[in-house]
Amino acid sequence: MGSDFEIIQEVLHGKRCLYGELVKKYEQQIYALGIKFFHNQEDAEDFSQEVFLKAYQQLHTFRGDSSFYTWLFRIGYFLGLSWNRRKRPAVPIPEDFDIPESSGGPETQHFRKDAIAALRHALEELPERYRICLELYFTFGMTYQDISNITDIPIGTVKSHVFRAKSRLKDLLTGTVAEGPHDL
Amino acid sequence: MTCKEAMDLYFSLDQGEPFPRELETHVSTCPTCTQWIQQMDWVLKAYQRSGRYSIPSSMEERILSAIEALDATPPPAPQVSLSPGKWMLPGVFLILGILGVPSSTVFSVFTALPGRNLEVVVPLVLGTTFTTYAAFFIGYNLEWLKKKFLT
Repeated sequence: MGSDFEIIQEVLHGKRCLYGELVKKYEQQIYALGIKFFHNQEDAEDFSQEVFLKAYQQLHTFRGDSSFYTWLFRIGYFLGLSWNRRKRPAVPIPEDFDIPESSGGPETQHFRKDAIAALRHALEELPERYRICLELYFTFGMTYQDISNITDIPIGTVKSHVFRAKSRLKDLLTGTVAEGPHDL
Repeated sequence: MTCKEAMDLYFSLDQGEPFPRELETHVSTCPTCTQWIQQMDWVLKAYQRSGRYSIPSSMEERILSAIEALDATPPPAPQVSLSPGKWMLPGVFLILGILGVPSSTVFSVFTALPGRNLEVVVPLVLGTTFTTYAAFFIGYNLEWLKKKFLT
């Protein structure tokens, strides 16, 4: 199959069934975004459906200036913010969480796992708008520019939030690094 | 470059951005910074992986069914929308008509007939017509009126 843009052109010219290709390609990420917003599966499913429906209805407005992925996330971001008030209570979600291979003893591993949990907790305390902005960086691997395009938050603000989150993470990891002659 | 400067530079890097030369030089000679960066990279990678969730198997089907249903729904009938200006034109004629009734001879035929007193009926019909027009005018142009007079 061709690029996202080519698929969209085909969909707009009547081959509507091809939209399923785009759904298949991005449903995982949009669902994950829904989980980040609402912390429960039911809302995340409703959210995913709504994002893809909205995108389908607005497909003719997609100009290809950004990637379809970014465009879809923009729809998701603003929908998520507007749905925020109607969300159901948070429910623990099972994660497909495989810890990457690494060196380091059990103590280091323990510190690292704690750091991940602490980072998550630190992000949870931020206002929704900025929390999701950081999730876009840390979870979805988006660039500063993409995040700014999606959220309408100035790129400088995005950078400073990511910078602060990384500094905080470093604080959380204190104890995992044997400090040598180091002028930090 | 100090370790603090090196870490600050590392913190400010974008996704996939290569290390600037000065950072690379510093890291190659500083085991502590190397260790910090390894730890951070490991945690960030693990955090990213922790954001993967198994999607419900029925989700794709659900989304596509919703889209099919949307396609099957006939598009809403196009609404005829008149600009406020066009709306006002019949209103002006209506008011002119009402004002012109006393000097009009249109009703003279009726009033000439014995027992046909239109003094009550004509204002009643015209009043009802004007009120109906006003109600529709306000209803269809509410947003425009709000913008014009309330902001």
